[in-house]
Amino acid sequence: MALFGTEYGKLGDERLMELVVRGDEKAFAALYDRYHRRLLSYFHRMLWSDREMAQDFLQDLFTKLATRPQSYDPSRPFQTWVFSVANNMCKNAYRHEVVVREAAAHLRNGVDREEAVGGIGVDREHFRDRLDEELDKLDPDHKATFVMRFHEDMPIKEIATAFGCSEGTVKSRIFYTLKKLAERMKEFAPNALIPHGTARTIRP
Amino acid sequence: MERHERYDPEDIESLLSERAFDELLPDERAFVLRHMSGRDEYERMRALLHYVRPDERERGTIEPEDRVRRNVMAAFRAQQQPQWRIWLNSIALWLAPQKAVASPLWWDRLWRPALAFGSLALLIVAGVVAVQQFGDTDTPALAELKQEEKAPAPATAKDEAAVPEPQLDDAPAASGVETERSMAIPAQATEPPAPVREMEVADRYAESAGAATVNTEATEDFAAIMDVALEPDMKSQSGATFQSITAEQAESLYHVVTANELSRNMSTTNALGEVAMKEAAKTPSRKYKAAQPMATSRSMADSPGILDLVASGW
Repeated sequence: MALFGTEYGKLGDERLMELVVRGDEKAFAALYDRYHRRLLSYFHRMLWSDREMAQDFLQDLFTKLATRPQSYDPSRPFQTWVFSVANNMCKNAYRHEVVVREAAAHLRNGVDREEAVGGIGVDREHFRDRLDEELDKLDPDHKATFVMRFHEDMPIKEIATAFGCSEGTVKSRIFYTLKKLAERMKEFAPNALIPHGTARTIRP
Repeated sequence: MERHERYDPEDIESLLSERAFDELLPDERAFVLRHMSGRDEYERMRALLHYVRPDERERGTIEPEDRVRRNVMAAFRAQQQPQWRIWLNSIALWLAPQKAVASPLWWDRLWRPALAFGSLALLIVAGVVAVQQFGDTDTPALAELKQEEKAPAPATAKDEAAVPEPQLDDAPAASGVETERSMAIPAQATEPPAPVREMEVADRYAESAGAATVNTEATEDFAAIMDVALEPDMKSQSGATFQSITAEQAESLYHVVTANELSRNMSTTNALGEVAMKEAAKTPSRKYKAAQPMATSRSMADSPGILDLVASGW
């Protein structure tokens, strides 16, 4: 606690949420500043890379948080809770727009693509587009698990809490998603092996 | 030292991230080959995992627009402030819109507030005039004197009980006729008579029961009759203890007698039967004929001959 006020940047998410429930506007702003990029990126990944839709969902999520802060369960980590809320919002969006997106994906498949070059020199932009395309074809739970794990870098345990399932289920989803994507994206199969030392240590 | 690790297929992510296929230990390789077709699939998955992990510089490159933050914070503020403040803010915004305030021309700034306040004043004046002209004139004023009810409801036992009882002990001594009409007899002969004014009680009762139905003459007659009737009893019971009669007891003892009741009175006070005779003369009906023998017997008792005969026989 600072002498002339609270240093919100040093407070934990859960403590900030306590202050938000009491009506502390600065605490709410601190939470927004802390999570808006990650949540926007998550929505962007989950919602077919639609930036406008991702922004709308981000605004909706924080508006819900502002209007009903009591809905937050203090016994859960805030990050887990907020991503579970975001995931539920994405599921609802999937129910509404799955038909439209399937049609759009079908149209995109007809576009001629430049063959990617495998290995280290792969075009990352092209890879991301293909990955998003393939992710859109996945089951929403598998896609959300994949995005949380590899884009948001969330621990397995938090993902499991967010989904309300076991850690084994999360690991299994990740494994079979990787296997399926590797099968569908053979064009990016490395001709050259990934050099030693480039692989990063992952969080358990 | 030999490693004894047990892998689950879910743990293969760590192997993919950390080791190439050639770097796997025999146990790890055996485990991988149980869940994958071979080296190629392992390397494909490893490469995919490598590329799907974004770099730090790639993460969070998407920035939301400023309007998102503004809207979110506005929603939070709106949720926190009371509703009446929102209402007042809307009123203020209606009276002085931001666009008008920002205008350099004075008329643009003032015409809307002036119109709003003028309209409000006009509405208030119109409302006051309408109330004065077409308002409810029957509504009594605050200090208006209400008329007494002319036809009160007949007195009930409850109403009678509501008649204020006189303060027997502290009431001032009755004077004049009131003393004569008093039915209270002092407990001790030497003590002054208790200032119980039963007639006042009767009068109050009569007033509460309705002044229009009370025959004041009958009341006075009743008082006189009661004096005559009680006098011998008082003499015969001189020295006896009489308790003061309360208002409730007085009500049970007597009531205001009307003319019709007097005409049918069978007590000794009506021994002469004068009232009954007068009534009979006025209305010679079957009812009177039925009551005539009784009146005749009273008149016989009045004759001195018969009285002497009865006295001698007694």
